[in-house]
Amino acid sequence: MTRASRSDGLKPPSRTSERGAAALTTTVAACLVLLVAGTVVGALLDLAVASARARTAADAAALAGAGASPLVGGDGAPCASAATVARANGGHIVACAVTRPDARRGEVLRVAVTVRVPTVGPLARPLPDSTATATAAVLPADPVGCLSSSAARSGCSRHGRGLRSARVAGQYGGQQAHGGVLVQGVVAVAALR
Amino acid sequence: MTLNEETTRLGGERGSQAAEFAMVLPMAIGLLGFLLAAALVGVELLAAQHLAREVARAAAVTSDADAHTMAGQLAEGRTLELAVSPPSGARRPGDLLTVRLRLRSAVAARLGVDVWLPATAVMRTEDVP
Repeated sequence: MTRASRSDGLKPPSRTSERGAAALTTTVAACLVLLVAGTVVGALLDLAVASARARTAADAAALAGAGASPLVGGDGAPCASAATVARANGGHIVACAVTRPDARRGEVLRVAVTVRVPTVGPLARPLPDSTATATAAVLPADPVGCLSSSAARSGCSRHGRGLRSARVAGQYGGQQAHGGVLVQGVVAVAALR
Repeated sequence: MTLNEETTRLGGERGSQAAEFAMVLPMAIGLLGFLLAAALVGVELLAAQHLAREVARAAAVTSDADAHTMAGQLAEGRTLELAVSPPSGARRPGDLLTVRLRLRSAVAARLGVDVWLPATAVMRTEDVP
């Protein structure tokens, strides 16, 4: 507004009508930020939980697959057993492979399983499903026995008493559909008959 | 409008800006606090899932009593409820066992809210001598 316009007798626009407009805008903006931030955090949490469940499912499926090996007295259908356990954990198997990488060292069998777990929260629907890959092996007896997992120690110690001659070891790697590896580590060792 | 009136009006607007800032600031702090708390509860949720997996693994190769003991150690003082089905006396090698646990959120408890975080894991019972 110029001094000329004020001096020509025109009435200046009312400031009273603008009062509160900025406050309203700020409040609406804050609400939008809250909504967007809450949605993003919720979706990320959903994705993280689905990823953890995928790791659990893959780990359990691989161990179940190895445990079903005829080498340790199982029914001889590792992938079917792995699929059952993956389904019980809310996932489904994407890939299952059974290999005997080193026959010279005795009875070695590896079961590699990839499990996909869908994100369940409504906020994470547009996000990709979580997948995780786990490997379990039926290995010859190992006098050293134990690996790092606390869950495995009881099984290892029993095995260390030399009761039977095979053990199942598991390793998993969690991976998002877009490719980043989240976790890699040995998770379990148990004695089998 | 005289110069004096203009100065007075601008001073009033300055005050209103301060008032608006004072109004929005608690909201912004609350938003940050909410997001932080949600993230921490999310971490606890992941810990609950990890705990369920470890306990299920332990229950697959040992007894329920050992699994409960291990759960208590891994929980590190946090309150949890744990159920293993079928119980160790009733399950046989090859059976699927289900561990259901609920971990009480320490973050939510500090905020005065009682939140229990659920987690489930299923494992195949192994034939351990």
